[in-house]
Parts: sequence; structure tokens; C-alpha cells
Amino acid sequence: MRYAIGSLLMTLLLSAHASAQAADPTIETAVVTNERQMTVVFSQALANTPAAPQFDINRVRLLPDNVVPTSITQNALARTTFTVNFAAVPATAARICFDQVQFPAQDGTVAVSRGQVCADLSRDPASIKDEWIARFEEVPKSSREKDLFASGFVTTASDESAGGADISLNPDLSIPSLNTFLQLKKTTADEGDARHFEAGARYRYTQTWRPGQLREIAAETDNARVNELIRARQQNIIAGWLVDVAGKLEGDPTNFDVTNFVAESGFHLQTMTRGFLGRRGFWRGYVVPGGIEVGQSLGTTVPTPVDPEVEPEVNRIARYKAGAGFTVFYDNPGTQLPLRRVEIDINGVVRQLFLTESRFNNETNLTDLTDKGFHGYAQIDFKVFFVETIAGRYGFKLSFNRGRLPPVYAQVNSFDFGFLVESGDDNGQATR
Amino acid sequence: MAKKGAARVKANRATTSASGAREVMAALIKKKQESVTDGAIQVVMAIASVTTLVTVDTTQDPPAFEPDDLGTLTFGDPRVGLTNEGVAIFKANLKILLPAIADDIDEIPDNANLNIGDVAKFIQLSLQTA
Repeated sequence: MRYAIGSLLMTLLLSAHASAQAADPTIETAVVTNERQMTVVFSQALANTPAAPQFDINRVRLLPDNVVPTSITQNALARTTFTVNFAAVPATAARICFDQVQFPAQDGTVAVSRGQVCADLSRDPASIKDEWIARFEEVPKSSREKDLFASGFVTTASDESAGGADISLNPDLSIPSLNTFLQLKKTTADEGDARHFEAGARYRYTQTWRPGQLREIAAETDNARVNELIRARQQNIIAGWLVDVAGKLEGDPTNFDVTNFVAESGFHLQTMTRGFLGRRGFWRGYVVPGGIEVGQSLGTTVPTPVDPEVEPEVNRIARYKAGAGFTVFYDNPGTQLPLRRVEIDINGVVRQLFLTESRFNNETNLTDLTDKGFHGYAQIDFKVFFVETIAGRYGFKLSFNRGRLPPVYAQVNSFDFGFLVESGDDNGQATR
Repeated sequence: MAKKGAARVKANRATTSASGAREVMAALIKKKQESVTDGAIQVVMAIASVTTLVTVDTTQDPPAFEPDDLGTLTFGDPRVGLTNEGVAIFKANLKILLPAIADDIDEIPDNANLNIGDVAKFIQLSLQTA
């Protein structure tokens, strides 16, 4: 009887242990990259202790030739990824096997695979690169407005709550340096509606700040000197500059009665992201000291002259544009104070219109005016999070918008307030 | 006779010492080549050239960097702090540090939501097939 109970208990313990032990890693990719190397990617990060079996060259082999590697190294950033070096990769090699691998288990301990971990070899690294690029392109680009305005919009310009949309999308054309964009700013609130829509394609040329510093780092062989050079580079305020050339369609998203085609170019200076308070916070900024927008009106509500010899009042587009932005972020999850995270985002753009364009009339609610001259627009977002759990962060947001945007330069004067819920799954997601 | 023996011993010691030094040098060169060809440290240096939130110490073996779980983060993570424009500048930096794979680096989208470890994995594959 006691023997039967003991046997039953042992069976229960073993099955509990088996279900608690993590599943063995598998090899997702094993590709021959050149005549002496291959890249092996596991399904999860492996341990990086030098004594781990995955680094023992006598416990790894190519089949069917039983060729062992000369060395195995792990990518310091991508701990799923290994370089396996050989004196020569045989042309007949078809499979790679690791006798055993060591990996961190979910409970924080170190586990060892129960058996061999093997995979067939690929000799087509170009296809694998294309596949990885395709996965990169599937990753959605960050949108400034991914958080939910739980209480809706409330503006000082109206006694009513109103709905709205502030959307930025960046679909990818899979062409290096060429990106598409779509931006919409629209609400139903009086004096909260920027009536702004634009969509187009942008070619971007990027250059780093003081490239000579990086060339010096690349050429330096003394590691202590490399550290000094990197520290010196991090003293820079500017990180780099960008030149954008774009073609876009602008329109009033209410009814698209006013539409323009605009070609634009701008010079953008980007600062370093600079940390403070022991990496708990950072600030960064950008300046667009100059840009031009030229184009043609495609549709307007301003009557065109009967005489075809007379140029319409609203015809061509010519603008000078400048702008700047500044972001401050502070996060202290360990604080006892009811202030976990603060984000301040300030952006502004000014335009000098050299030619007459359509303008929205806030009194008649029609685009029956014209204007030229100076127009600016500013947006300030202030987010504070008080509570943070595994499920997400909770706080409130203030947003202040003031100014005029093309194509109809409707006056915006809105102050938005709402409660904020941000999901907690926005960090460190792999592209898989 | 004793002088010839001493000379022979001295020659043997010199040969052993020289071959030992060559083996050490060959191992160092091999290790250096291996550490270069996965490009991980160049990726870290390119990021550190856009944000002071990331630091690297190349004097340690293997090189150490902060945050130490950098490969699990996205470029836009608050512990890294890059925007899409920052990723574009990171790519420009990386093309200077790894000029042999500049065309492959251009294929990476300017997207701060990309995982840094996945980009490092792609860089390794590009370097080893260049």
C-alpha cells in the first residue's frame, strides 16, 4: 500500500516537473553565409555563460560529415543568434546539430535541453535577408496618438463634447529612403477643427553630424581610445541632419472642395537624445530652419474669373516654412510619489504665404475668404501617468492646439483634456 | 660540445617561444575577426552616437554596454529614446562604421518600433555574406 502511494506520488511529481520545465529551444534558421561560417538563430535567447554546451565545439557538428566547428560566438545584442566558424564548410553538409543547449527558463533558473537541437541547413542567405526585411516592413510605425482619449474631446471653443481624429500613418513603399505619409487633423468642434489632410511620398537624405568622428572611431584599434572618442561624440548637441523632398496632396477633409498639389523641401536638424537624472529622463528636439512649399491649386471655392485671360485669385502656391519641436520624458517606476511618468511634447510650424490662398471663414463656416502672409500653428501635449501596472499605465493628458494649417487655414484654438490608458505591451517587441 | 648543446637549447627555446607567440597572435586575430563579423558592437556604437542613454565600454571582453538588455528593446523605447528620424541617423552612423554593407543598411526602414536585436541579427547576416 505504502509502495503504491509512493509510486503514485513520484509519478505526480515527475509529471509536474515535466510540465513546469520549459520547452526546448529549436533552431529557426541555420544558413551557410560563406565558405567558413554559418549563422544559426534559435527560437529563444540562450545562456551566454562560456561553459554552456552551445559553446563547446566538440558538442556541435555538421552532418553527415561530422565536421566540428573551430569556434562558436553569440551575438551580444541578439542572444538568439550565433556565428559558427569552421575551417571549411563541406559542400555536402546538410544539417547542424547541437548536442545540448543551455537557456534561461521562465522561472529565472537556467535550463538545459533534454536532447539534441538540430536543423537542416539553408544555402540561400539572400532569401533569408529578404524575408527579414519584409518582417521589418510589417512593423507598424509609431504614431503620436496611439493612446485612447477615454473621455473624448472637450474644447474651450465649444460647450459640447465633440469627436475627432488626429492620425498619422506611414505606409512603406519598400524603396530605400522613400516613404509615404498620410496625416489627418479633423474634429467636429468649432475652433478645434484644423481641416487638414495631406498624403504623399517623401524622399529623405540623411547625414550624421561630424562624420569624421565616426570615421576615426571605425579606424581606431585601441579600445580605450575608442571609448574616449565615443564619449566625446556624445557631447555633441546635434546628432544629424536630414533633407526631405516630398510631393503631396493637401485637402480640406470635410468635403475636399479645396485641394492643392504641393512639392516641398525642408532641412531638418535633429538633436541627440540626451539623458538626465541617471537615465530616468531624456530630452530631444529638432529644428527646421527653412523649407519651401510650391504647388498648384487643384480645387477652390473662390470663384474663378469669367475672362480666361485674368488669372484666378487662388492659383499657385508658394510658401516658406520653418518649425521646431521639443520633447521631455521622465519615468520613475520605483517612486513612492503619485507621479510615475511625465511626457511633454511641443511642436510648432510657421508659414509665410507669398501668394493668395483659400481661407476658412469661422463666422460663416465657409471657405469664402482668401489670405496670404504669416500663419503659425502650435501643439503642446502634456501627459502624466499616476499608476502603472502590468496591464498598462493610467493618467491624464492635456493638449493645446492653436493656429492655422493649410489648405484652408481654419483658426484652431482648442484645449483638450482626457483620461489616458496606455497598454503596457509597447516595449521590446520583436518583429516576429 | 657544451657550447653547441647550450646553443641548441637556446635555439629550441627561441623556436618554441616564436611559435607560441605566433599561435597567440593567430588566436587574437581570429577572435578579432570573429568579433567584427557579427557587427553587434558597431550597432551599439551607432546607437550611442544618437543617444546618451546608451553607453558602451569596448575595453572589456566581451564589450559591455548599457542598458545590458539593449537587444530586447525597440529604438523608440524610453530607455533608448529615438524617433523615426533618430533611426535614420543611426543608419547613417552604421554605414560609416560598416561601409561594406551600406546597401543592406539602407533596406532597414526608418522605424523606431523596430527591435534592436532583430536589426543586429540582420546586420550579422549581411556582414557574413558581404
